Amino acid sequence: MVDAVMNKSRLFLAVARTEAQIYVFYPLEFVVAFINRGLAIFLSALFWVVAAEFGDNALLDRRFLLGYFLIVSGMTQISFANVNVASHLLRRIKSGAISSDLLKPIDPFALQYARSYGSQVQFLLISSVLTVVGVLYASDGFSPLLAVWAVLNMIIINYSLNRMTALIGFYVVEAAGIKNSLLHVLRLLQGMLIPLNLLPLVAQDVLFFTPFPSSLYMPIATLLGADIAISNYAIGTLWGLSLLPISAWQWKRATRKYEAVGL
Amino acid sequence: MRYLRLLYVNAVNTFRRDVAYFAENWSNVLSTLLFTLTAVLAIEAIFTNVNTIGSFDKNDVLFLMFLGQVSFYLIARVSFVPATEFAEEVNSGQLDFYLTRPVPLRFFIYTKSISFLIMVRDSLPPLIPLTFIVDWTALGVTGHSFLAGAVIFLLGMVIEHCMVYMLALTSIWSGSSNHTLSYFWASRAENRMPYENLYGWFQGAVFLGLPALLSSSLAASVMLGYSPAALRLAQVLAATVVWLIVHNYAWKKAMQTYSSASS
Repeated sequence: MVDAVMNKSRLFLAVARTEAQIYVFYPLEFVVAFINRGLAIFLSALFWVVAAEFGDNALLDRRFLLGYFLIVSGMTQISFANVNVASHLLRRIKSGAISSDLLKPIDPFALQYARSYGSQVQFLLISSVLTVVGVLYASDGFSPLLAVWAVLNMIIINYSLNRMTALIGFYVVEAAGIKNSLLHVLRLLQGMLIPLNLLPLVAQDVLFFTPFPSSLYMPIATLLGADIAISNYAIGTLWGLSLLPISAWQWKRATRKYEAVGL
Repeated sequence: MRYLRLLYVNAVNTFRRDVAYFAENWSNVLSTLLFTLTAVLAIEAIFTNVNTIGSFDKNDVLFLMFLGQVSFYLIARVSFVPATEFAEEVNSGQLDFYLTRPVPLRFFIYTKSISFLIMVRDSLPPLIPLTFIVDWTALGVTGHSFLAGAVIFLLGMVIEHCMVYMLALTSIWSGSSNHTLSYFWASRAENRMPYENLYGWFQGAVFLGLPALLSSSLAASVMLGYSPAALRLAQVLAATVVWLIVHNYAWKKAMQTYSSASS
């Protein structure tokens, strides 16, 4: 069992390393991708700094908002909360490139996760740095145990959300638009567009019964030292443990739908 | 006449292509609609916490968002999509075939894949509700400020067109410009910023590499009377001339490099 897990881990690491090596051939692309991500994060952070500085309400705390959006970038990248793995898989399903993955004796979805980590190594780098900067700059102190709990919930839920989004490609040819639609809704509900504590209280109360706050907002708020009820972490775990088998089962069903010329 | 005829032929060609696959991409309409809806909800949520950001109230920010959306749909279909195709054609060697055609090369490349039908299809559904959400009578727009803002909007688009094609041209030197072209998305990560409340150095940086903010933030500021119209107009005009000169130079250099590479 341990050997099998080790072998799989080594395989996925090798896939990630191979994907990352593309930047040896296109170094300019690596640099520009780095700049792009930095710029996008900077622009969204700048909006909130301006809103906090020139807004007429002291509740918009500049330190919290800047830290929040720095960590958003990191957490999004680490857990693919932006359904980026699903995006790549949808393209592979549409083009038929998924055929070669399905023939391999490994989970094609996990394989894509490894590919995505490898091809976005520069984003991981900058995002990790910005997460640390965000925590150092804005955190009021946090419980490491709760932080690990929240991050685990986030990773598991986003893994399932990516899988559930990707499998749409087996049913619909032009699934990218549907994926984008889901992403826009997710961005609001996860707290990518706006910190959830700025939403009206009723909306917050309802949202915390869904998996979405646990898929991004909760770990960020935990790292920033926000006071969150333990029940909210438990709700996240419940969602994570429910979505994981459901998405695996749906993925299995969906792959049976796949037909490709040449198989 | 020759240019008009070429434009007509290219428009008819893309229209036929778009009509052939029209039904496949309706999910994109849903996506753009949801993007606008969630962005409006986020603005609503922000303005439940503040009354104004700098001199902008909620209605001004919605107007700013409207301008940003209009400029996005225009530039995406007129410049970004064709520039992306151009970069792919450089990568695949397809550009060789265009070089042998008896047509003005740059105009042909600029216009060959502009899709007016898709532009209308994707932009109207989200823009129409937005026109009803903005309270046009409450905006402090005068005839003069509107005219100056409209010219700034158009010049901003010209600058962005130059920038997008300069990003695509890097494929001639580096072989790939996928991430380089993604700078377009990064530079559009946030366009709800009141221009006059931005830091001085950042206001200057907008002219150097963030033209999307010229056609949204600056144009809106001028139209609403928050920015000195004559000064800003002169600045944008000067920037446009510089961008056009640099763009022409880059294009010539790129074509010389491409020819030598092919031979």
